[in-house]
Amino acid sequence: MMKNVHHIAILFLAFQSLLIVTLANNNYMKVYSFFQISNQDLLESMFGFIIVCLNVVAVVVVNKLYHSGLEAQQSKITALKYDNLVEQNRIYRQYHHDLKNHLTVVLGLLTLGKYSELKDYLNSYLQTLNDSLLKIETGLDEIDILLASKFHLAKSQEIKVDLNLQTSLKCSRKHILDLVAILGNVLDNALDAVQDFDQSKRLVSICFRQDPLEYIFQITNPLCSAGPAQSDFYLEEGFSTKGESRGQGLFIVKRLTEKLGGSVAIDASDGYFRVTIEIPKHGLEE
Amino acid sequence: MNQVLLETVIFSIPEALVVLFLATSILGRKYKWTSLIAMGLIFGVTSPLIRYLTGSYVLNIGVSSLMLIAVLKLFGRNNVVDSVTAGLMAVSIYLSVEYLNVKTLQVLTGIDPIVMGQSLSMRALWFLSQLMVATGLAFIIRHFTIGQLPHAQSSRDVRL
Repeated sequence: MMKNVHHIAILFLAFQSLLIVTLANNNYMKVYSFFQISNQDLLESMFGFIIVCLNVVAVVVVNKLYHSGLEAQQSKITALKYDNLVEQNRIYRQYHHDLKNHLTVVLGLLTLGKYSELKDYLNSYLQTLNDSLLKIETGLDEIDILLASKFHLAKSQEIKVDLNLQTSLKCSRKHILDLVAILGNVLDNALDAVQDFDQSKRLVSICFRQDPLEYIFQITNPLCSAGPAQSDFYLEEGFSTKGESRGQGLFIVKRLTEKLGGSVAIDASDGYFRVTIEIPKHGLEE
Repeated sequence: MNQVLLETVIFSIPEALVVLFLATSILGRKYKWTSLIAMGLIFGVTSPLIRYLTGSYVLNIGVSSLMLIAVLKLFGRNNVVDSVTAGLMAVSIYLSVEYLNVKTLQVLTGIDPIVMGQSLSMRALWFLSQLMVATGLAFIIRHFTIGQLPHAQSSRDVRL
């Protein structure tokens, strides 16, 4: 027996299409008594029986498809969480690997009696550990994971991130992936943009706030060269300052934000590239 | 006997070829033209026999669909689900084109379809238009299932 609900649904749909067309053609031919079976009543009863059976099966197929859709959504979220676990594991393994080297240095400084240097070294190491265990609470586990992952990426690239959370987010299960995709793309763009700057200019600011109607997400990074100040130009498909085959990120952000009933505004007027995303609360929470 | 042979050559075989072309387009698979023609000949030659044995339109469609599925499965080397889906959809599309074609010609010419069917030349003309439309549809479907899906094209090409 077939287990794949999508196969059953496809076969079911194909059979229904054929039945409809056959019925339509047969009714047309019946008017002219062309190529008809002698026992019409039997044929019509048979069709009636098949149609009833199809309707009953349709309820089961729709139910299975609905649950399959929910499971697919859940697996995407699980995959996201798994990715983060892998990333966290990688970071912990890296620290574990470094620990031996650190202990060697500590032992060396102790042996030499350089207590002041040892104190500075341990303070510096503790600071690094504290940074890596940064706890982010936006109200949504998936966004916490995303931000933590991007923070680690920024840290590895020596990019300073200024996070300002003024609100606690609420989002329904069905929209969470869209929100992750929106913020993920904007953050990737911002981190990508400052990568080639001097270390002093490598700064990305993130601000989440709300007004009575909307959640407002603002991501800002310095610009290397002046472009159009305020324009939909940046949101067009294929636009990129990074060369060909790029420029899908902000276009995807625009498309997903509009899908949630929100809007994207870009301001590049004062030497900074500021992306402001406004999404109605009801659009995210419903 | 000659009439049956003539009808098989003029109608059944081209019809079988177009339906098979539709089915392979839906499947998104490329076949050699010779393989398609071989499958079309098998399906086309058996069609009049099925028509004769069943004696009714509905039964004829049912058995012909099964025959098409069998041809796709055995000679086209497709799996059962793919063969059933493509076979049913191809027959369904072809029949809907046929229905529209007959209805349109009836409205435009005002000739009774039974009368139209009695003249071989008129029937061939009416048949030609539905054949062309179905082939056009098959090419459009093919464009989306093969041309737009490079992965499918590279991994599922079949040379028989």
